Amino acid sequence: MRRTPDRLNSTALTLLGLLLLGAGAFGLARGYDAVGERQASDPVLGETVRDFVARNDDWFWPVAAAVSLLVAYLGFRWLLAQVRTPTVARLRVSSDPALGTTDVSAPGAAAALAGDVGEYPGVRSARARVMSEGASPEVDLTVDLHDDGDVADVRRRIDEHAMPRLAEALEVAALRPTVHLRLYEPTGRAVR
Amino acid sequence: MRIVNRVVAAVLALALLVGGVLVAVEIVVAAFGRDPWVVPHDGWYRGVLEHSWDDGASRWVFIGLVLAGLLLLGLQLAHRRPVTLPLSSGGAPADLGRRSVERSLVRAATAVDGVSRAKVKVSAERADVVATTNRRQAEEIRPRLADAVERRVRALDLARAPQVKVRVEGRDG
Repeated sequence: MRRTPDRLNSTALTLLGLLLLGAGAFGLARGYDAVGERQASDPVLGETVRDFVARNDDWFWPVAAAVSLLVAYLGFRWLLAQVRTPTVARLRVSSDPALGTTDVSAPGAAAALAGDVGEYPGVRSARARVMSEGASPEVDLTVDLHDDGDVADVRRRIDEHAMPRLAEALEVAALRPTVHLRLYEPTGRAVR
Repeated sequence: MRIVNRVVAAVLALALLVGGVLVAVEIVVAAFGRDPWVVPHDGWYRGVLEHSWDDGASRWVFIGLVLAGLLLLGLQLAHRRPVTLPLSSGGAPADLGRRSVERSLVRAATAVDGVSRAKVKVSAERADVVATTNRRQAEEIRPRLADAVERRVRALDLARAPQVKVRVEGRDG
């Protein structure tokens, strides 16, 4: 449920793995006469491909350059996904041409939410992030609980107290929260 | 394993980024009739013209591609325990960090009288507890230990409580 690049990585690496496996298997199969004896001794870059490129020289290379840039862009987005988690800096609370606009600092709102949750019995500490804006912003809340804390009670308080208070402050009808809990011993360290 | 995946993903993403830009730049450079800038594509071009599909060098490249593909697919198929365990439905979607659950169950197990040490491994289906005791009658501890760990698991409000399996090892193992 936590927004991590793991699913993206898994999908992309599976596709890449299949692509490499397919290309290698095809090359080996062709080299071992699976497609035909004559084709096995053809150069890897065959005449058909060379002719095609030569005939379509006017559009082929611009398209190839564009595809390369697209691949580079996808690589950039993929790389970015490894290091960045989406967060919002400001949330628009109200906008009126006559009165102007009111923005709320998203980290400030998140800190207020974490402060509320941090006061609940059994809670050791809490951190929050607002991850999107709009009619129902996404909120990611991480709560560290003492081992003897009541998990169900903390969840109920978050649902019935903390989230409605944040929604009210942001003047939205609903939030899309995700809650991550971790159990801590009173003086120890928990590892996810 | 997720860390390995992330490192491999970051390396490949960087390779795609750099490779894509280099290819585009080389195409532009070649369009102006200049020599290759960074990528020696003229040499590569000669290579794919000179080497046939059944050539030894070509076969090694294809074997390399197959192995790289298998490695990536193997990495994806490797069994992984979940990072988090979902909590019961109702209210906001919530989960518990799996490793923190394991530590919590270790604390529950070591709080049982007679247990000197415990190890816990939690997956989506099972919680395997291995406890060590200094007592001679190791089996006497087993029901109390299972009860303590099961009580702890029930208190966690998990969507699907893992089945608790307990093993007690005596002084002699």
